[in-house]
Amino acid sequence: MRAVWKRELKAYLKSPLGYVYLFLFLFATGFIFCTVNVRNGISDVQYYFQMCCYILIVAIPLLTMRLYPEERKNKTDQILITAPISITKMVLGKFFAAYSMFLISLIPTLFCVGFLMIYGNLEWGVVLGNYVGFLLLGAAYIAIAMLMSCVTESPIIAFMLGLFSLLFFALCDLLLSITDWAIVTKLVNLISVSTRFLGFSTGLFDLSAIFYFLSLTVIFLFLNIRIIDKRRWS
Amino acid sequence: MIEVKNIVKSYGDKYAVNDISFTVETGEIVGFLGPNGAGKSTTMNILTGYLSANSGTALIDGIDILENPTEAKRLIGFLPEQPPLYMDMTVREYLEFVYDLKKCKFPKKEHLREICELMKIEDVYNRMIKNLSKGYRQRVGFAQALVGNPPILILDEPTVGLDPRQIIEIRKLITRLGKKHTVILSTHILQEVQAVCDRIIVINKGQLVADGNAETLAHKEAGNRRLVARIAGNKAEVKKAIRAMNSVLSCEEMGTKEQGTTDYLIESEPNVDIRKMLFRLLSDRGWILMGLKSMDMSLEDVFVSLITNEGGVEE
Repeated sequence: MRAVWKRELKAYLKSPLGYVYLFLFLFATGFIFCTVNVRNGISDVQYYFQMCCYILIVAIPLLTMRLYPEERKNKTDQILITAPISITKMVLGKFFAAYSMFLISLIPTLFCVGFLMIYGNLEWGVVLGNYVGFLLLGAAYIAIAMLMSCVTESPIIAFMLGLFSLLFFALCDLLLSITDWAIVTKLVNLISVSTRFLGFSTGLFDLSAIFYFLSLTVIFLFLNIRIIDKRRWS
Repeated sequence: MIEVKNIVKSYGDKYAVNDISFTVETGEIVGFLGPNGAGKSTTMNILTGYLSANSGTALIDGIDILENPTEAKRLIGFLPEQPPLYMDMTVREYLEFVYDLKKCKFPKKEHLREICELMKIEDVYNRMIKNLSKGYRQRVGFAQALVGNPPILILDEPTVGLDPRQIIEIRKLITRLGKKHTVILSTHILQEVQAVCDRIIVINKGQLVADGNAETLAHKEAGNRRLVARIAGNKAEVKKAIRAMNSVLSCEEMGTKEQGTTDYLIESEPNVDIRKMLFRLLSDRGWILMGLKSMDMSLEDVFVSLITNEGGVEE
């Protein structure tokens, strides 16, 4: 697992894609920080993090789009699958590489938050809640987008599929405004990301929300493993 | 060392591999021979655990590749048809990655250096793989299979893309490796199996059509014996006399290559040597035998006949 993680992380840092991701994320979050917090003099991190969540919808597929398509194109998946490691470890290696990049991109946000702490008054609980929520959300988003990257051989299609599926998870609440069918309401409540994140952003550590994000991550990683395993049989 | 039993792999209703069984003993060098698309690569992919068979079992040193893949894969070094190279890595980074991936226990630096010396890739050790020529890439791919010193090497067309000198070197290397490793290699080049393999397995249309060394295959497939005789004498009479001999099935004129003589192609029943009888017949009749050559089937003929035979049966 470590070997795969190390290789993928190195690939991110050596290819333009890793920097495109970092640039996009930093530019967008920095822009929000400047326009919302600095210019209007608001020390509210809640809004800042909520906007960051939307940026992730575009940024995360960038991170995952080449994880599988490139391997299949260059047939390098053959070395991974015929190596004496399990498919689970291979998938986890890739997941943690993408997650490490995600963590790296969070470092600059600490400056923004630190800035607000010095010049505004922030509650520790709220900041911590937002970060915990954001870390969980990132993991779930990466797992979802990784699955989309796994089903196609084209990085562009992987990106589009990742984008659409994340959009669906993030914005499915909007469905509630156009329909009031019981089944739709039930389904949306079951999968809605934003209602769960809301708790964290107000500094509330809801155990069920933590469980929701973790299980979302595990389910999608599991599907990922199953699809790769299944491919050998088809 | 390797035991394959009744392996079947189909895509939809098309069989890529249809009921193949064979065993490979420790230390053997076995060549998979067959035309393109015969199922060689599929069989190798199943052996290495890249693909799963629909039915049948593959045992690597007694370990089922499906039941205990991690243990079985540890024993195999695999060079796929297209070397699995990461273009954005240097040769060193790549081999170190493979070393970590296989969780090797040897001293890393020395082990990798040995392999590079063996494959003659030391001079490109710090270069990016995407900048290497096809021959170098193939050898880096080969080097990758050797990392960890696995007892079994499975090489899918190991000499593709190499120049003639490199091909000879790689063949020598495989022969050398065969002393310590069990090797399965696939190729559609006949000279290659003849040059390096102890045993040949011919695969065609997903089925195993022959298994043995070059000589037994030639005998098995040779069928009728053929001789070319250069005789000075009256054409019509010579032909008539030879055709009248016991065991002779046919006698055809092949034209004149030396003045005053004619070449004849004589086909006789298998397992009968007609050369003595032919000599006596000719000397009794006063004709002169200028030359006599046995037309044993070459491996090439065997190969072609195996493949066409099987094709006929299928249809």
